[in-house]
Amino acid sequence: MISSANYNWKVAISLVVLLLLSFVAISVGPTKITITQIWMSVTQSQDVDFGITQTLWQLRLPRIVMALLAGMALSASGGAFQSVFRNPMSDPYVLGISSGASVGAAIAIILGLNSQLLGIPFFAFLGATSALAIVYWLAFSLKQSEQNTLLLAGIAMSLMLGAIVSLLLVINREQMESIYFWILGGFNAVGWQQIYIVGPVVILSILLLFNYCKDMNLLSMGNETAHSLGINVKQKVAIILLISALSVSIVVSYSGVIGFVGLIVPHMVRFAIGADNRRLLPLAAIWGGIFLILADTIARTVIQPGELPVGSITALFGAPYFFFILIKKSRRHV
Amino acid sequence: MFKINKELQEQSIVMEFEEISFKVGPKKILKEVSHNLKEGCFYSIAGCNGSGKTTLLQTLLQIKKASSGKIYLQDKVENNAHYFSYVPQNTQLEFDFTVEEVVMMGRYPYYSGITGPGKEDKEKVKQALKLTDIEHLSKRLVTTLSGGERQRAIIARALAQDTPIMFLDEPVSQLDIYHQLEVLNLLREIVDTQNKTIVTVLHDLNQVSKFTDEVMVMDNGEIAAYGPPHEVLSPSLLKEIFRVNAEWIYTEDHKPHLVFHYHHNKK
Ligand SMILES: Nc1ncnc2c1ncn2[C@@H]1O[C@H](COP(=O)(O)OP(=O)(O)O)[C@@H](O)[C@H]1O
Ligand SMILES: [Mg+2]
Repeated sequence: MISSANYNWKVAISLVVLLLLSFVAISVGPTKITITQIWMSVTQSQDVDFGITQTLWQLRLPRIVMALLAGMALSASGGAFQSVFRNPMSDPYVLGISSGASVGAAIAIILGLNSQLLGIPFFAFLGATSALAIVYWLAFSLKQSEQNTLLLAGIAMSLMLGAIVSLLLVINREQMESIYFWILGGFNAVGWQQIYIVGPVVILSILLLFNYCKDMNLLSMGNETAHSLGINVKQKVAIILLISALSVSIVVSYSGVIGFVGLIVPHMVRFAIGADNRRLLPLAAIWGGIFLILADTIARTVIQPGELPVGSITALFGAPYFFFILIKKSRRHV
Repeated sequence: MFKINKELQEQSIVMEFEEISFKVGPKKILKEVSHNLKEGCFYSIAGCNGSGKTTLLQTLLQIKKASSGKIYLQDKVENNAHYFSYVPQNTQLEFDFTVEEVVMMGRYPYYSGITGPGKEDKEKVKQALKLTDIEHLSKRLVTTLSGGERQRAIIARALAQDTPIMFLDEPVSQLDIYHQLEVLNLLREIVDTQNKTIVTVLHDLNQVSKFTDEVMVMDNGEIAAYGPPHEVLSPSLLKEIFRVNAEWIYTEDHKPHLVFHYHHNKK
C-alpha cells in the first residue's frame, strides 16, 4: 500500500527528470557548457578550459545543489504544515515562518555576525521558532473549524515581519544590499562552503520528517481523531513544526525567502499520487528540487547577463496558483 | 491519566468514572458525572443540544482533560488506541485520501511504519468496509463522497480499530434511514456477538429504545436519569428535559413505541 510498483515508477521518472534538468541547468548561462565538456571535466579535467571548469564546479553546480536542497526542504515542510494544520493552503511561507527567519537573519547582519559561520542561521532559527510559537499557540486556541483564520493570521504576521525587515533595511543603509537579499531570495551567492552547512541539516531534517508521515496522516483528520488513534497531538505537532522550522531557517539563511514552493509542489504531487504523506513527502521533496532548479535557471537566463530574483519567479507562478486553490476549495464547500 | 481498579473485572465493568467535572473558566460544563460501563452492553446518550454529551465522551477519552474526577479501567493499557475507538461528531476530511486509506488508519496503532500493514490489518479493513456497506467505494476519494458515505467510512475506520470500547458521537445523524438502521443493527450485532461495549449519542429516542440496553439522559452537564430506555424515557421526563409531549404506544407486535404530539410546548 505504501510503495507500490506504480509509485516506484513515478519516483524513478521524477529522478530522471531531476537529473536531465540538472544537466540543462549546468549547460545554459552566459558561458555555454556542452554535455561533452561536462563529461570531460569529470573524467579528464586537465584537458578542459580552466574557465569552463571553474564555471561548472564553482558557480553552476553549487547553485544547482543549493536550489535542490532548498526545494526539498521547502516542499517537504510545506507538505508537513498542510497536514498538521489541515489546510492545503498553508506552508512555512504563508504562515510567516520564513519571514520570521529573515528577520532573525537581518538582525544577525546588523549585529555584525555575518562573518561568523553560524551566526546567521542561528538567528534565523530563533526568528523562525518565534513566529512558529505564535502560530502554534493560535492553532490550539482557535476552533478546529477555523483554520482559515489561522491562515489569515499567518499572512498578517508575514506582512508585519516583512515590514520589519524593510525597516531594518532603511535604518541600516550600509548593509542594505545584504539585507535586501532576504526579501527577494536567490542562489547567486552560493558556494560549496554554504552547501556543507545546508546539506546535512536539510537532509537530516527531511529524513526526520519522513519518520512522522503516519502521524501527519492522522493529524490531517483532526485532533480528536488523531488523539483517539494514539497520537499525543500537541507534542507531535510541536516536533513536526520544529523540524520543518529548522530546515526552512537554514535554507532562508543562505538563499533568502523563496515563497510558494512549499505550497504549490505538495499540492500538485498530492493531486498526482494521493494524500498519503508516506508517499507524498518523498516525491514532493524531489519535485521541490526540480521546481527550484527550473525557477533558478529561468531567473538567471531570461535577461542575460542580468539576473532576476528566484523569489519573484516562484511568486509569479505561485500567487495565481494560491488563488486557484482558494477558489477550488471554497467551491467544494458550497 | 486512567486509574486502575482490578475489582472491576469481577463485575464485568470495563470503565468506571467518578464525579467527572469539566470546567471552562467558571462555567461547569460537566457537573460531577459518575457511571460505569459494562462489558457487552450497548449504551446511548440522549439529551438536548449543549447538554454536554460530546464533552462527556471527550473527557472519557481524555481528549479533554477533566477538571476533577477519576476514571478507572480494569487494567493498564499500553496504548489507548488499542482500547478505545472514537467516531467524532464531525471529522475533517480536507485531503484526497481514498476510503480504503482512511479505514486503514484504524490499523495504524497496530503496525509500524517499517513493516507496513500485515495480513490481519488488511483483513480487518476489508471486513469493516463490508460491514458498513462501502466496499464499492473503497477506491474513491473521501473528498468526493456524500456526507453519509463519509460518515460510514469514518465508522468503518473505528470498526477496523477493533477495540473493546467504542464511542460514537451522533454516528447516524447524517445518514439516510436505511443506513441509520443498518449502522445501528451492526453496532447491536457487534455488542452481542463480540461482547464489546459501545456508547453512542443518539437523538432519535425510538432508536434509543429499540437498539440500546441503557440510556443516559444528559441535562445541563449532568446525567439526569439512566437505565433501560423504556423505563427511563417516561412522558414526564420527556416533558421536563426534552420539552415535548410524548406517550408510549404499543404496536401490533406488542413493541413499545414513542409518539410525539406535534404542538408547541411553550415553557
Ligand atoms: N471549549 C469550550 N469553551 C466554552 N464552552 C464550551 C466548550 N466546549 C463546550 N462548551 C459548551 O459546553 C456545552 C456542552 O457542549 P457539548 O458537549 O458539545 O454539547 P452536546 O454535544 O450535548 O450538544 C455547550 O453549551 C458548549 O457551548
Ligand atoms: Mg455534541
